[in-house]
Amino acid sequence: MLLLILGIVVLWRLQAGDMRISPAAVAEILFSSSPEATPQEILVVRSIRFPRLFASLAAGASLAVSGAVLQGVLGNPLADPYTLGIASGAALGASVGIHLGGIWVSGAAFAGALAALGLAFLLSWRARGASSISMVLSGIVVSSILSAGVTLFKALSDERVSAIVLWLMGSFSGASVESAAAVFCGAVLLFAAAEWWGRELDAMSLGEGRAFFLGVREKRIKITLLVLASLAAALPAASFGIIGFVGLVGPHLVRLVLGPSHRPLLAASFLGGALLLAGADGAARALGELPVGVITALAGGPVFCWILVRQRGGDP
Amino acid sequence: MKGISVSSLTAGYGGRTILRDISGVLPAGAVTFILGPNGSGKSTLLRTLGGALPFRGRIRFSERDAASLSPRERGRMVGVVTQSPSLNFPFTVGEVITMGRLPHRSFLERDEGGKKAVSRACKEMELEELRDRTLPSLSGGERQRTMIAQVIAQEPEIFLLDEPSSALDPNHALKLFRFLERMAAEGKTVAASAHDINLAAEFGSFVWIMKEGRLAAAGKTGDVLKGDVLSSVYGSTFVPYRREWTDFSGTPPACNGGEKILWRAV
Repeated sequence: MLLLILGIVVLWRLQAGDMRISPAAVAEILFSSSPEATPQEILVVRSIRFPRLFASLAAGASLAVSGAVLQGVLGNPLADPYTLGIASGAALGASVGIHLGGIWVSGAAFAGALAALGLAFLLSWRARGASSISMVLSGIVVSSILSAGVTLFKALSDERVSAIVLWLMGSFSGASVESAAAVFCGAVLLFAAAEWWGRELDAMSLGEGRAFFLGVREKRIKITLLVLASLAAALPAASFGIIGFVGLVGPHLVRLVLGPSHRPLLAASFLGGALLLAGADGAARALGELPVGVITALAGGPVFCWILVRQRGGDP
Repeated sequence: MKGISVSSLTAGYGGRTILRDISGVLPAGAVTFILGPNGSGKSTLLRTLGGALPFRGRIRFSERDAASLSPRERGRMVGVVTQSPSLNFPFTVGEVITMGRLPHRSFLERDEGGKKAVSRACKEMELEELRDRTLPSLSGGERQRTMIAQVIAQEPEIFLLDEPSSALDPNHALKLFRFLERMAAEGKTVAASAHDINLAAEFGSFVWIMKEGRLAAAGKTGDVLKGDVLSSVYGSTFVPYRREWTDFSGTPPACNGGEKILWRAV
Protein backbone atom coordinates (compact mmCIF):
# COMPACT_ATOMS: atom_id res chain seq x y z
CA MET A 1 0.00 0.00 0.00
CA LEU A 2 2.76 2.42 1.03
CA LEU A 3 4.77 1.38 -2.03
CA LEU A 4 1.77 2.05 -4.28
CA ILE A 5 1.21 5.54 -2.88
CA LEU A 6 4.94 6.18 -3.07
CA GLY A 7 4.88 5.15 -6.75
CA ILE A 8 2.02 7.58 -7.45
CA VAL A 9 3.85 10.44 -5.68
CA VAL A 10 7.06 9.68 -7.59
CA LEU A 11 5.19 9.82 -10.92
CA TRP A 12 3.45 13.04 -9.92
CA ARG A 13 6.68 14.69 -8.86
CA LEU A 14 8.50 13.76 -12.06
CA GLN A 15 5.85 14.81 -14.54
CA ALA A 16 4.32 17.87 -12.84
CA GLY A 17 5.81 21.35 -13.04
CA ASP A 18 6.03 24.30 -15.39
CA MET A 19 6.79 21.86 -18.19
CA ARG A 20 4.35 18.94 -18.17
CA ILE A 21 5.91 15.73 -19.36
CA SER A 22 3.91 12.50 -19.68
CA PRO A 23 4.77 9.56 -17.37
CA ALA A 24 5.82 7.46 -20.37
CA ALA A 25 8.18 10.18 -21.55
CA VAL A 26 9.59 10.52 -18.02
CA ALA A 27 10.24 6.77 -17.85
CA GLU A 28 11.93 6.86 -21.26
CA ILE A 29 14.11 9.81 -20.29
CA LEU A 30 15.21 8.09 -17.06
CA PHE A 31 15.78 4.60 -18.36
CA SER A 32 16.63 4.91 -22.06
CA SER A 33 20.13 5.87 -23.16
CA SER A 34 18.82 7.69 -26.26
CA PRO A 35 15.35 9.04 -25.43
CA GLU A 36 13.19 10.72 -28.06
CA ALA A 37 12.28 13.68 -25.82
CA THR A 38 13.53 17.20 -26.49
CA PRO A 39 16.90 18.15 -24.96
CA GLN A 40 15.06 20.60 -22.74
CA GLU A 41 12.77 17.87 -21.38
CA ILE A 42 15.75 15.59 -20.81
CA LEU A 43 17.53 18.36 -18.95
CA VAL A 44 14.48 19.11 -16.76
CA VAL A 45 13.90 15.49 -15.80
CA ARG A 46 17.50 14.32 -15.41
CA SER A 47 19.11 17.40 -13.92
CA ILE A 48 16.30 19.09 -12.00
CA ARG A 49 13.30 16.92 -11.16
CA PHE A 50 15.01 13.58 -10.57
CA PRO A 51 17.75 14.91 -8.23
CA ARG A 52 15.15 16.93 -6.32
CA LEU A 53 12.80 13.96 -6.01
CA PHE A 54 15.64 11.61 -5.03
CA ALA A 55 16.81 14.12 -2.43
CA SER A 56 13.36 14.51 -0.88
CA LEU A 57 12.81 10.73 -0.78
CA ALA A 58 16.23 10.05 0.73
CA ALA A 59 15.97 12.85 3.30
CA GLY A 60 12.44 11.77 4.30
CA ALA A 61 13.52 8.14 4.76
CA SER A 62 16.63 9.21 6.61
CA LEU A 63 14.90 11.57 9.03
CA ALA A 64 11.99 9.20 9.76
CA VAL A 65 14.21 6.14 10.38
CA SER A 66 16.54 8.29 12.46
CA GLY A 67 13.57 9.45 14.55
CA ALA A 68 12.25 5.91 15.02
CA VAL A 69 15.68 4.65 16.07
CA LEU A 70 16.35 7.53 18.48
CA GLN A 71 12.94 7.10 20.09
CA GLY A 72 13.53 3.36 20.52
CA VAL A 73 17.12 3.58 21.75
CA LEU A 74 16.34 6.33 24.25
CA GLY A 75 12.93 4.86 25.17
CA ASN A 76 11.49 8.33 24.71
CA PRO A 77 8.78 9.12 22.16
CA LEU A 78 9.78 12.80 22.13
CA ALA A 79 13.29 12.08 20.89
CA ASP A 80 13.89 13.05 17.30
CA PRO A 81 16.91 14.20 15.32
CA TYR A 82 16.10 17.78 16.18
CA THR A 83 15.19 17.60 19.86
CA LEU A 84 18.71 16.25 20.40
CA GLY A 85 20.32 19.42 19.08
CA ILE A 86 21.20 18.30 15.55
CA ALA A 87 19.13 20.97 13.80
CA SER A 88 20.46 23.84 15.88
CA GLY A 89 24.02 22.62 15.42
CA ALA A 90 23.56 22.40 11.65
CA ALA A 91 21.88 25.82 11.66
CA LEU A 92 24.72 27.44 13.57
CA GLY A 93 27.34 25.76 11.36
CA ALA A 94 25.57 26.93 8.21
CA SER A 95 25.13 30.44 9.62
CA VAL A 96 28.86 30.65 10.30
CA GLY A 97 29.58 29.33 6.78
CA ILE A 98 27.23 31.86 5.15
CA HIS A 99 28.54 34.68 7.36
CA LEU A 100 32.08 33.90 6.23
CA GLY A 101 31.09 34.32 2.60
CA GLY A 102 29.16 31.17 1.73
CA ILE A 103 32.06 28.78 1.70
CA TRP A 104 31.70 25.18 2.85
CA VAL A 105 28.14 25.74 4.09
CA SER A 106 27.22 22.03 3.96
CA GLY A 107 30.47 20.99 5.58
CA ALA A 108 30.07 23.57 8.34
CA ALA A 109 26.45 22.52 8.90
CA PHE A 110 27.48 18.86 9.12
CA ALA A 111 30.26 19.63 11.57
CA GLY A 112 27.88 21.81 13.59
CA ALA A 113 25.26 19.04 13.75
CA LEU A 114 27.76 16.47 14.99
CA ALA A 115 29.36 18.89 17.45
CA ALA A 116 25.94 19.78 18.91
CA LEU A 117 25.04 16.14 19.30
CA GLY A 118 28.41 15.41 20.89
CA LEU A 119 27.83 18.26 23.30
CA ALA A 120 24.35 16.95 24.20
CA PHE A 121 25.82 13.46 24.77
CA LEU A 122 28.59 14.80 26.94
CA LEU A 123 26.26 16.91 29.02
CA SER A 124 23.81 14.05 29.45
CA TRP A 125 26.55 11.57 30.32
CA ARG A 126 28.04 13.90 32.88
CA ALA A 127 24.59 14.56 34.33
CA ARG A 128 23.03 11.13 34.62
CA GLY A 129 24.95 8.55 32.62
CA ALA A 130 23.14 9.26 29.32
CA SER A 131 19.67 8.29 30.49
CA SER A 132 16.83 8.97 28.07
CA ILE A 133 15.41 11.92 29.99
CA SER A 134 18.79 13.59 30.51
CA MET A 135 19.60 13.05 26.82
CA VAL A 136 16.47 14.85 25.64
CA LEU A 137 16.87 17.60 28.25
CA SER A 138 20.52 18.10 27.26
CA GLY A 139 19.47 18.27 23.59
CA ILE A 140 16.92 20.96 24.39
CA VAL A 141 19.45 23.00 26.41
CA VAL A 142 22.11 22.71 23.68
CA SER A 143 19.48 23.65 21.06
CA SER A 144 18.51 26.77 22.97
CA ILE A 145 22.10 27.94 23.34
CA LEU A 146 22.94 27.27 19.69
CA SER A 147 19.73 28.96 18.51
CA ALA A 148 20.88 32.07 20.32
CA GLY A 149 24.14 31.72 18.37
CA VAL A 150 22.18 31.58 15.09
CA THR A 151 20.30 34.75 16.05
CA LEU A 152 23.63 36.41 16.82
CA PHE A 153 25.01 35.54 13.38
CA LYS A 154 21.80 36.79 11.75
CA ALA A 155 22.28 40.09 13.54
CA LEU A 156 25.92 40.27 12.48
CA SER A 157 25.41 39.22 8.87
CA ASP A 158 23.80 42.38 7.40
CA GLU A 159 23.06 41.66 3.75
CA ARG A 160 23.64 37.89 4.10
CA VAL A 161 20.85 37.51 6.65
CA SER A 162 18.36 36.54 3.94
CA ALA A 163 20.65 33.71 2.79
CA ILE A 164 20.79 32.39 6.35
CA VAL A 165 17.02 32.61 6.79
CA LEU A 166 16.41 30.86 3.47
CA TRP A 167 18.86 28.08 4.32
CA LEU A 168 17.26 27.58 7.73
CA MET A 169 13.86 26.97 6.16
CA GLY A 170 15.10 23.99 4.16
CA SER A 171 14.77 23.35 0.46
CA PHE A 172 15.40 20.67 -2.17
CA SER A 173 15.58 23.04 -5.10
CA GLY A 174 18.99 22.77 -6.69
CA ALA A 175 19.71 19.44 -4.92
CA SER A 176 22.42 17.33 -6.56
CA VAL A 177 22.26 13.60 -7.16
CA GLU A 178 25.54 13.23 -5.25
CA SER A 179 24.24 14.84 -2.06
CA ALA A 180 20.98 12.86 -2.33
CA ALA A 181 22.99 9.66 -2.76
CA ALA A 182 25.06 10.44 0.35
CA VAL A 183 21.87 10.98 2.36
CA PHE A 184 20.40 7.78 0.93
CA CYS A 185 23.50 5.77 1.91
CA GLY A 186 23.27 7.13 5.47
CA ALA A 187 19.61 6.13 5.62
CA VAL A 188 20.23 2.62 4.29
CA LEU A 189 23.13 2.04 6.67
CA LEU A 190 21.07 3.06 9.70
CA PHE A 191 18.05 1.12 8.47
CA ALA A 192 20.05 -2.10 8.00
CA ALA A 193 21.70 -1.89 11.44
CA ALA A 194 18.43 -1.06 13.19
CA GLU A 195 16.54 -3.88 11.43
CA TRP A 196 19.30 -6.32 12.46
CA TRP A 197 18.82 -5.25 16.08
CA GLY A 198 15.03 -4.83 15.76
CA ARG A 199 14.16 -7.22 18.60
CA GLU A 200 16.82 -5.73 20.85
CA LEU A 201 15.39 -2.28 20.14
CA ASP A 202 11.96 -3.51 21.24
CA ALA A 203 13.41 -4.57 24.59
CA MET A 204 15.41 -1.35 24.93
CA SER A 205 12.32 0.78 24.39
CA LEU A 206 10.69 -0.94 27.40
CA GLY A 207 12.93 1.24 29.54
CA GLU A 208 16.40 1.36 30.96
CA GLY A 209 17.65 -1.93 32.27
CA ARG A 210 15.05 -4.31 30.87
CA ALA A 211 17.02 -5.12 27.71
CA PHE A 212 20.17 -5.67 29.75
CA PHE A 213 18.44 -8.34 31.84
CA LEU A 214 17.34 -10.03 28.61
CA GLY A 215 20.97 -10.49 27.60
CA VAL A 216 21.16 -7.54 25.18
CA ARG A 217 24.53 -5.81 24.75
CA GLU A 218 22.72 -2.58 25.46
CA LYS A 219 25.64 -0.15 25.56
CA ARG A 220 27.23 -1.34 22.33
CA ILE A 221 23.94 -1.29 20.40
CA LYS A 222 22.94 2.05 21.90
CA ILE A 223 26.18 3.77 20.96
CA THR A 224 26.31 2.28 17.44
CA LEU A 225 22.72 3.20 16.65
CA LEU A 226 23.02 6.69 18.18
CA VAL A 227 26.07 7.41 16.02
CA LEU A 228 24.41 6.07 12.85
CA ALA A 229 21.13 7.87 13.60
CA SER A 230 23.02 11.12 14.17
CA LEU A 231 24.83 10.75 10.85
CA ALA A 232 21.56 9.93 9.09
CA ALA A 233 19.99 13.08 10.50
CA ALA A 234 23.03 15.35 10.07
CA LEU A 235 23.53 14.50 6.37
CA PRO A 236 20.15 15.84 5.14
CA ALA A 237 20.39 18.82 7.53
CA ALA A 238 23.79 19.71 6.05
CA SER A 239 22.69 19.43 2.42
CA PHE A 240 19.09 20.61 2.44
CA GLY A 241 18.63 22.72 5.58
CA ILE A 242 16.32 22.33 8.54
CA ILE A 243 13.32 20.12 7.81
CA GLY A 244 11.51 19.50 11.06
CA PHE A 245 8.76 17.16 12.23
CA VAL A 246 9.37 14.33 9.71
CA GLY A 247 11.56 12.49 12.25
CA LEU A 248 9.02 13.01 14.99
CA VAL A 249 5.69 12.60 13.21
CA GLY A 250 6.69 9.88 10.70
CA PRO A 251 7.37 7.10 13.26
CA HIS A 252 4.40 8.15 15.41
CA LEU A 253 2.01 7.88 12.46
CA VAL A 254 3.37 4.43 11.62
CA ARG A 255 3.05 3.29 15.26
CA LEU A 256 -0.63 4.24 15.22
CA VAL A 257 -1.19 1.73 12.41
CA LEU A 258 1.41 -1.01 12.95
CA GLY A 259 2.19 -0.78 16.69
CA PRO A 260 5.59 -0.18 18.28
CA SER A 261 7.42 -3.36 17.17
CA HIS A 262 10.61 -2.09 15.52
CA ARG A 263 11.11 -4.35 12.51
CA PRO A 264 7.84 -3.37 10.77
CA LEU A 265 8.05 0.14 12.26
CA LEU A 266 11.46 0.84 10.70
CA ALA A 267 10.51 -0.50 7.27
CA ALA A 268 7.29 1.50 7.20
CA SER A 269 9.04 4.61 8.56
CA PHE A 270 11.61 4.37 5.75
CA LEU A 271 8.88 4.30 3.09
CA GLY A 272 6.48 6.58 4.97
CA GLY A 273 9.14 9.22 5.66
CA ALA A 274 10.16 9.21 1.98
CA LEU A 275 6.52 9.54 0.99
CA LEU A 276 5.81 12.34 3.48
CA LEU A 277 8.74 14.47 2.45
CA ALA A 278 8.37 13.91 -1.31
CA GLY A 279 4.69 14.87 -0.89
CA ALA A 280 5.57 17.90 1.21
CA ASP A 281 8.14 19.01 -1.36
CA GLY A 282 5.52 18.56 -4.10
CA ALA A 283 3.14 20.76 -2.12
CA ALA A 284 5.93 23.31 -1.53
CA ARG A 285 6.61 23.40 -5.29
CA ALA A 286 2.93 23.58 -6.22
CA LEU A 287 2.37 26.48 -3.79
CA GLY A 288 4.94 28.61 -5.57
CA GLU A 289 8.29 27.24 -4.35
CA LEU A 290 7.75 27.67 -0.62
CA PRO A 291 10.52 26.33 1.66
CA VAL A 292 9.77 22.67 2.35
CA GLY A 293 10.68 23.07 6.05
CA VAL A 294 7.76 25.47 6.40
CA ILE A 295 5.36 22.94 4.90
CA THR A 296 6.54 20.09 7.16
CA ALA A 297 6.31 22.29 10.26
CA LEU A 298 2.90 23.66 9.29
CA ALA A 299 1.48 20.20 8.59
CA GLY A 300 3.55 18.24 11.13
CA GLY A 301 2.75 20.38 14.18
CA PRO A 302 -1.03 19.87 14.08
CA VAL A 303 -0.62 16.18 13.16
CA PHE A 304 1.62 15.66 16.20
CA CYS A 305 -0.95 17.41 18.40
CA TRP A 306 -3.62 15.10 17.03
CA ILE A 307 -1.45 12.02 17.78
CA LEU A 308 -0.84 13.27 21.33
CA VAL A 309 -4.53 13.84 22.01
CA ARG A 310 -5.45 10.49 20.45
CA GLN A 311 -2.91 8.59 22.56
CA ARG A 312 -4.03 10.37 25.70
CA GLY A 313 -7.60 9.28 24.93
CA GLY A 314 -6.44 5.64 24.71
CA ASP A 315 -5.08 5.57 28.25
CA PRO A 316 -7.16 3.98 31.02
CA MET B 1 27.56 -25.90 45.09
CA LYS B 2 24.43 -25.16 43.09
CA GLY B 3 22.80 -21.77 43.44
CA ILE B 4 24.37 -18.37 43.93
CA SER B 5 27.35 -17.92 46.19
CA VAL B 6 28.58 -14.47 47.05
CA SER B 7 31.78 -13.53 48.78
CA SER B 8 32.92 -10.09 50.01
CA LEU B 9 30.43 -8.37 47.70
CA THR B 10 30.60 -4.57 47.69
CA ALA B 11 28.58 -2.53 45.19
CA GLY B 12 26.70 0.74 44.66
CA TYR B 13 25.69 3.46 42.22
CA GLY B 14 27.89 6.21 40.81
CA GLY B 15 30.63 6.02 43.44
CA ARG B 16 28.21 5.65 46.36
CA THR B 17 28.68 2.33 48.14
CA ILE B 18 25.41 0.67 49.13
CA LEU B 19 26.25 -3.01 49.63
CA ARG B 20 29.15 -3.70 51.97
CA ASP B 21 31.07 -6.92 52.31
CA ILE B 22 28.25 -9.41 51.77
CA SER B 23 29.03 -13.12 51.82
CA GLY B 24 26.50 -15.93 51.71
CA VAL B 25 24.67 -18.52 49.66
CA LEU B 26 21.31 -18.46 47.88
CA PRO B 27 20.87 -22.21 47.40
CA ALA B 28 19.33 -23.85 44.33
CA GLY B 29 16.12 -25.79 44.92
CA ALA B 30 14.78 -23.29 47.45
CA VAL B 31 12.99 -19.96 47.67
CA THR B 32 15.07 -17.39 49.57
CA PHE B 33 13.47 -14.16 50.72
CA ILE B 34 15.50 -10.97 51.00
CA LEU B 35 14.03 -8.85 53.79
CA GLY B 36 15.06 -5.55 55.33
CA PRO B 37 13.87 -2.00 55.93
CA ASN B 38 13.52 0.63 53.16
CA GLY B 39 16.91 1.58 51.77
CA SER B 40 18.68 -1.44 53.27
CA GLY B 41 19.99 -2.54 49.85
CA LYS B 42 17.55 -5.29 48.81
CA SER B 43 16.97 -3.97 45.28
CA THR B 44 20.63 -3.09 44.86
CA LEU B 45 21.58 -6.62 45.87
CA LEU B 46 19.20 -8.14 43.31
CA ARG B 47 20.38 -5.76 40.56
CA THR B 48 24.01 -6.53 41.36
CA LEU B 49 23.36 -10.28 41.26
CA GLY B 50 21.58 -9.69 37.93
CA GLY B 51 24.79 -8.12 36.58
CA ALA B 52 23.48 -4.56 36.20
CA LEU B 53 25.88 -2.91 38.66
CA PRO B 54 29.66 -3.03 38.92
CA PHE B 55 30.89 -4.77 42.06
CA ARG B 56 33.94 -5.82 44.01
CA GLY B 57 34.15 -9.31 45.45
CA ARG B 58 32.87 -12.46 43.82
CA ILE B 59 29.53 -13.80 42.57
CA ARG B 60 29.28 -17.40 41.38
CA PHE B 61 26.30 -19.00 39.66
CA SER B 62 26.74 -22.71 40.44
CA GLU B 63 30.17 -23.44 38.95
CA ARG B 64 30.43 -20.28 36.83
CA ASP B 65 31.96 -16.97 37.82
CA ALA B 66 29.27 -14.36 37.11
CA ALA B 67 31.84 -11.98 35.62
CA SER B 68 32.80 -14.56 32.99
CA LEU B 69 29.29 -14.85 31.52
CA SER B 70 28.55 -13.21 28.16
CA PRO B 71 25.38 -11.05 28.15
CA ARG B 72 23.56 -13.77 26.23
CA GLU B 73 24.65 -16.53 28.61
CA ARG B 74 23.61 -14.34 31.53
CA GLY B 75 20.23 -13.71 29.86
CA ARG B 76 19.66 -17.45 29.55
CA MET B 77 20.76 -18.18 33.10
CA VAL B 78 19.38 -15.28 35.17
CA GLY B 79 15.89 -13.78 34.99
CA VAL B 80 15.34 -10.51 36.85
CA VAL B 81 11.86 -9.17 37.61
CA THR B 82 12.09 -5.42 38.04
CA GLN B 83 9.45 -2.81 38.73
CA SER B 84 6.98 -1.66 36.06
CA PRO B 85 8.40 -0.93 32.59
CA SER B 86 8.20 2.28 30.61
CA LEU B 87 4.75 2.87 29.17
CA ASN B 88 5.99 5.15 26.42
CA PHE B 89 5.33 2.63 23.67
CA PRO B 90 2.13 0.59 23.49
CA PHE B 91 3.53 -2.94 23.24
CA THR B 92 0.96 -5.68 23.72
CA VAL B 93 1.16 -8.16 26.59
CA GLY B 94 1.97 -10.91 24.06
CA GLU B 95 4.83 -8.87 22.57
CA VAL B 96 6.30 -8.06 25.98
CA ILE B 97 6.23 -11.70 27.09
CA THR B 98 7.76 -12.84 23.79
CA MET B 99 10.69 -10.48 24.44
CA GLY B 100 11.61 -12.91 27.24
CA ARG B 101 12.83 -15.26 24.50
CA LEU B 102 15.44 -12.76 23.34
CA PRO B 103 18.43 -14.59 24.88
CA HIS B 104 17.31 -17.78 23.13
CA ARG B 105 16.93 -16.24 19.66
CA SER B 106 19.32 -15.17 16.97
CA PHE B 107 19.41 -14.96 13.18
CA LEU B 108 21.25 -18.26 12.99
CA GLU B 109 19.49 -20.11 15.79
CA ARG B 110 15.84 -21.16 15.83
CA ASP B 111 14.07 -20.76 19.13
CA GLU B 112 12.52 -24.22 19.29
CA GLY B 113 10.75 -23.98 22.63
CA GLY B 114 9.75 -20.33 22.21
CA LYS B 115 6.02 -20.57 21.55
CA LYS B 116 5.53 -23.16 24.26
CA ALA B 117 7.43 -21.10 26.83
CA VAL B 118 5.42 -17.98 26.00
CA SER B 119 2.06 -19.76 26.29
CA ARG B 120 3.15 -21.35 29.55
CA ALA B 121 4.17 -17.97 30.94
CA CYS B 122 0.80 -16.51 29.87
CA LYS B 123 -1.00 -19.36 31.55
CA GLU B 124 0.97 -19.19 34.80
CA MET B 125 0.22 -15.48 35.20
CA GLU B 126 -3.36 -15.84 33.85
CA LEU B 127 -2.76 -13.42 31.00
CA GLU B 128 -4.27 -15.38 28.10
CA GLU B 129 -7.22 -13.04 27.74
CA LEU B 130 -5.04 -9.95 28.02
CA ARG B 131 -2.53 -10.99 25.34
CA ASP B 132 -3.64 -8.40 22.81
CA ARG B 133 -4.08 -5.56 25.28
CA THR B 134 -1.39 -2.86 25.35
CA LEU B 135 0.72 -2.18 28.46
CA PRO B 136 -0.58 1.38 29.01
CA SER B 137 -4.16 0.08 29.04
CA LEU B 138 -3.48 -2.39 31.92
CA SER B 139 -3.73 -1.89 35.68
CA GLY B 140 -0.54 -1.83 37.78
CA GLY B 141 -1.02 -5.42 38.91
CA GLU B 142 -1.65 -6.67 35.38
CA ARG B 143 1.55 -4.96 34.24
CA GLN B 144 3.47 -6.58 37.08
CA ARG B 145 2.11 -9.98 36.06
CA THR B 146 3.17 -9.26 32.47
CA MET B 147 6.74 -8.50 33.53
CA ILE B 148 6.85 -11.65 35.67
CA ALA B 149 5.53 -13.62 32.69
CA GLN B 150 8.34 -12.20 30.54
CA VAL B 151 10.87 -13.67 32.97
CA ILE B 152 9.00 -16.98 33.10
CA ALA B 153 9.19 -17.11 29.28
CA GLN B 154 12.93 -16.49 29.61
CA GLU B 155 13.19 -19.92 31.33
CA PRO B 156 16.15 -18.96 33.52
CA GLU B 157 17.93 -21.18 36.03
CA ILE B 158 17.92 -18.33 38.54
CA PHE B 159 14.93 -16.10 39.35
CA LEU B 160 15.66 -12.76 41.01
CA LEU B 161 12.47 -10.88 41.87
CA ASP B 162 12.30 -7.36 43.28
CA GLU B 163 9.09 -7.11 45.32
CA PRO B 164 7.23 -9.21 42.76
CA SER B 165 3.87 -9.11 44.55
CA SER B 166 3.84 -5.40 45.47
CA ALA B 167 0.94 -4.65 43.09
CA LEU B 168 -0.70 -8.10 42.97
CA ASP B 169 -4.07 -9.00 44.44
CA PRO B 170 -3.94 -11.82 47.05
CA ASN B 171 -5.09 -14.45 44.57
CA HIS B 172 -2.36 -13.68 42.03
CA ALA B 173 0.25 -13.23 44.77
CA LEU B 174 -0.58 -16.71 46.02
CA LYS B 175 -0.34 -18.15 42.51
CA LEU B 176 2.99 -16.43 41.95
CA PHE B 177 4.57 -17.82 45.13
CA ARG B 178 3.21 -21.30 44.43
CA PHE B 179 4.76 -21.07 40.99
CA LEU B 180 8.08 -20.01 42.53
CA GLU B 181 7.91 -22.95 44.92
CA ARG B 182 7.40 -25.28 41.96
CA MET B 183 10.40 -23.71 40.21
CA ALA B 184 12.47 -24.30 43.34
CA ALA B 185 11.24 -27.89 43.48
CA GLU B 186 12.54 -28.30 39.90
CA GLY B 187 15.98 -27.29 41.16
CA LYS B 188 15.99 -23.60 40.20
CA THR B 189 17.33 -20.84 42.42
CA VAL B 190 14.71 -18.31 43.52
CA ALA B 191 15.41 -15.09 45.44
CA ALA B 192 12.67 -12.52 46.06
CA SER B 193 12.75 -9.30 48.02
CA ALA B 194 9.70 -8.41 50.09
CA HIS B 195 8.47 -6.13 52.83
CA ASP B 196 5.95 -8.63 54.16
CA ILE B 197 7.81 -10.81 56.67
CA ASN B 198 4.96 -13.29 56.64
CA LEU B 199 5.41 -13.98 52.93
CA ALA B 200 8.86 -15.22 53.86
CA ALA B 201 7.44 -17.18 56.79
CA GLU B 202 4.92 -18.89 54.53
CA PHE B 203 6.83 -19.45 51.32
CA GLY B 204 10.52 -19.07 52.05
CA SER B 205 12.88 -21.89 52.93
CA PHE B 206 15.69 -19.42 53.58
CA VAL B 207 15.82 -15.77 54.53
CA TRP B 208 18.45 -13.06 54.12
CA ILE B 209 17.91 -9.95 56.21
CA MET B 210 19.62 -6.77 55.05
CA LYS B 211 20.36 -3.73 57.18
CA GLU B 212 22.21 -0.61 56.03
CA GLY B 213 23.78 -2.44 53.10
CA ARG B 214 25.06 -5.35 55.16
CA LEU B 215 23.77 -8.88 55.58
CA ALA B 216 22.41 -8.75 59.15
CA ALA B 217 21.20 -12.35 59.31
CA ALA B 218 20.88 -15.33 56.97
CA GLY B 219 19.75 -18.92 57.28
CA LYS B 220 16.71 -21.17 57.40
CA THR B 221 13.46 -19.23 57.76
CA GLY B 222 12.58 -20.66 61.16
CA ASP B 223 16.09 -19.94 62.50
CA VAL B 224 16.26 -16.34 61.29
CA LEU B 225 12.73 -15.06 61.83
CA LYS B 226 12.95 -14.45 65.56
CA GLY B 227 11.52 -11.59 67.54
CA ASP B 228 14.89 -10.22 68.64
CA VAL B 229 16.39 -10.36 65.12
CA LEU B 230 13.37 -8.62 63.57
CA SER B 231 13.28 -5.99 66.32
CA SER B 232 16.97 -5.19 65.93
CA VAL B 233 16.62 -4.84 62.16
CA TYR B 234 13.31 -3.01 61.85
CA GLY B 235 13.17 -1.18 65.17
CA SER B 236 9.62 -2.17 66.21
CA THR B 237 8.77 -4.97 68.61
CA PHE B 238 7.63 -8.13 66.84
CA VAL B 239 5.28 -10.66 68.38
CA PRO B 240 4.60 -14.13 67.01
CA TYR B 241 1.17 -15.61 66.34
CA ARG B 242 0.02 -18.95 65.01
CA ARG B 243 -2.45 -19.31 62.16
CA GLU B 244 -3.87 -22.23 60.23
CA TRP B 245 -3.26 -21.06 56.68
CA THR B 246 -5.68 -21.69 53.83
CA ASP B 247 -6.18 -20.13 50.44
CA PHE B 248 -9.49 -18.78 49.16
CA SER B 249 -10.70 -22.17 47.97
CA GLY B 250 -10.15 -23.51 51.46
CA THR B 251 -7.27 -25.72 50.30
CA PRO B 252 -4.28 -25.94 52.66
CA PRO B 253 -1.12 -24.73 50.93
CA ALA B 254 1.12 -27.26 49.25
CA CYS B 255 4.12 -25.52 50.74
CA ASN B 256 5.87 -26.32 53.98
CA GLY B 257 2.89 -27.89 55.76
CA GLY B 258 -0.08 -26.31 57.49
CA GLU B 259 0.65 -24.32 60.63
CA LYS B 260 3.06 -21.41 60.56
CA ILE B 261 4.52 -18.93 62.97
CA LEU B 262 3.79 -15.46 61.65
CA TRP B 263 4.96 -12.07 62.90
CA ARG B 264 3.24 -8.82 63.66
CA ALA B 265 4.90 -5.50 64.50
CA VAL B 266 3.44 -3.80 67.57
